Amino acid sequence: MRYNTILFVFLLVLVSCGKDGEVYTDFEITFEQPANFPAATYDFEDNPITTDGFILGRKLFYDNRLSLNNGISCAECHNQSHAFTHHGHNLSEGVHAGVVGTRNSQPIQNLAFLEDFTWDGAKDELIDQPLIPIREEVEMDETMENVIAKLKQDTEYQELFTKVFQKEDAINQATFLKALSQFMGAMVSSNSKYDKYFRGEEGGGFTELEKQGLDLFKQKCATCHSGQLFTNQEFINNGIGENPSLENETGRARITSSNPFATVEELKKSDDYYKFRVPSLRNVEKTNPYMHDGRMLNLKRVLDFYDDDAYPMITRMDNLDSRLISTDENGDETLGIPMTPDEKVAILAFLETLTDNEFINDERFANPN
Amino acid sequence: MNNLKKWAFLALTTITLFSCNNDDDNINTNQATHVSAVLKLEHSLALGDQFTLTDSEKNEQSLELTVFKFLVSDVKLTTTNDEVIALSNNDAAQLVDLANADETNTIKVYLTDIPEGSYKSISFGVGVSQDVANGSTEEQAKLYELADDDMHWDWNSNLYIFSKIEASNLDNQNTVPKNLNIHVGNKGGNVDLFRTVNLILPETLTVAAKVSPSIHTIVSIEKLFTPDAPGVAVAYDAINAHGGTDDASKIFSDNYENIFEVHHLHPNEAAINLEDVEMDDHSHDGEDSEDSHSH
Repeated sequence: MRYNTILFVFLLVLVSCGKDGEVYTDFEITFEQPANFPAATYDFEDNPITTDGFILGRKLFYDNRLSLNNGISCAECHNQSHAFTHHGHNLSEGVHAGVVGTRNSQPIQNLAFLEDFTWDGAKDELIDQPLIPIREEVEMDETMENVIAKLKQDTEYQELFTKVFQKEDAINQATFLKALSQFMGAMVSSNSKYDKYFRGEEGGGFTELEKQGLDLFKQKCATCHSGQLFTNQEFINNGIGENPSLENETGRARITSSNPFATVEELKKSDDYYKFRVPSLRNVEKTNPYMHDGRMLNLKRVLDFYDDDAYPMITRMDNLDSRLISTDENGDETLGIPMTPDEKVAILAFLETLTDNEFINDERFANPN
Repeated sequence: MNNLKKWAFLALTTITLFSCNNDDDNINTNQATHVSAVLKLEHSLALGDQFTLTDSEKNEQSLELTVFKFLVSDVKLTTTNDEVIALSNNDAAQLVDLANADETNTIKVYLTDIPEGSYKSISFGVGVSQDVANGSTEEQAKLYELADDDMHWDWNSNLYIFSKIEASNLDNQNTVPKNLNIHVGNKGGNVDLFRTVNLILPETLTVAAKVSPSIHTIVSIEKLFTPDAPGVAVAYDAINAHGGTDDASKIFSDNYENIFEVHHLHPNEAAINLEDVEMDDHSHDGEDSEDSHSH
């Protein structure tokens, strides 16, 4: 069996209540629980994923009206061909020319399985996540009030919201967020070569190098990039070091501080200073550049960094993750994860097997316009 | 897999329930016009008023109030038979903002859909509870809108700012005047600062179609810092928003339970309907209206 698939049989129900039986879509969205994935965190009770809700969410995702001056859509920085990241951009420009954000665009994939969102865990529910990019001045810089007002002017949206949420005047912030969340929640990437190898399916043949890479990955990387999501979902200081051009960056410290007006100097004393989420490595080969600020252009650089043998080196802050420190009998510290050049070649070969071309080319997730 | 099956079942059930009920929604909106009761909040200070607070170094600071606002959620009434009636946040939640007060520093919270009957107490939350913030999205539809812009933290998992009080320090001698700047919410996740206010009514509140009775309540803003016993006094610059401690923030939040006092009821005020008063309140143009001010 390829999947344990959960089919929500809602299409039948919706069709039975349709006004004139028009054909609305030629595909059906089901939330697919991959056999090798952990249980979903998505709140299906609050916001069940329906085909109509997904289609509405997709339309919103690709709609420039979510931003100030109708300049950009979510897809501006989350494009499908690169696993919904901003290919080649360390940081991304928002609606204001020349003004970039402070974090590298993260892939929109397997969000239904995550405990927290954004690099610092600013949100713990997928439903609230879009409020950040829409409202952030350096991203879409729009107010939710304006977004809702713009959508209400569009009779097509009025009809779609009414259809999905089964009431008149259905457009509000809650239903808007629910629709976006349905689209993003349904975006599951689980058909990489690695998945097929792991599940013993056709197309999952590993080369000797890839097998060797998987073994090395398990020894050297899987402590943090653990499980089938390839992340333990922790926030750690991985030694990345301060970015001198982003002086206000404090990592997770600003989230866990109970002082909403805490200064950067105060947050530097926090144990969460410069801690960031351990990212999933699915589709990692497609999501360059890397790290929270996109400072590493390719995966070889990332491995060299963790090996601590080439610039940039690991920065030894007080809260550097202990798994990156080994201490000998004299008390001397060695930082990082030792890897030989051949081992890096094998690990890189393995990482490429995490690319899911079915996901990247899935027309259901593509811009419908 | 068992959990997932349960979800799938719940999802299916929910969809089935939602899928064919076009007719039900309209009934509610048509009935929600009669104002069952009005919570009148008369504040002890207006924006621009001066007051004095003691800081953590025991110095008196002369301040001018610039912002005072809080979110009201989870309004509940208890009948004389001890039955608790919980009002939907999509109806009863409100942002009380002193900037919108009338000439008597009063803000009115209009309550609808209270079943007819006799009530002995009313309670409400200052802010938004974890249960509500993590619960149903559609039941937060109004709260999202109330919080939009000014009572909303993007970089926090409970996005609601529960309350704000700000004042500028009038002491020009001080090189670093300590302005008052307190925003309360469940920031950082260490302590829960959501508080519920319980108000025992001095006489029975009768809710009926022919009246819109009001509960005249005094809001003593200074008591946030110098409450009556058993409340505990707290220096304004000792709490988290001033770089202070979680404990001081807890004491400050506890004091929200202390600032409200029901002064009297207006049990027989003429029935009003929500659409009229909302229009009146939004206009702020001083036009006479039969429906509003009843003193």
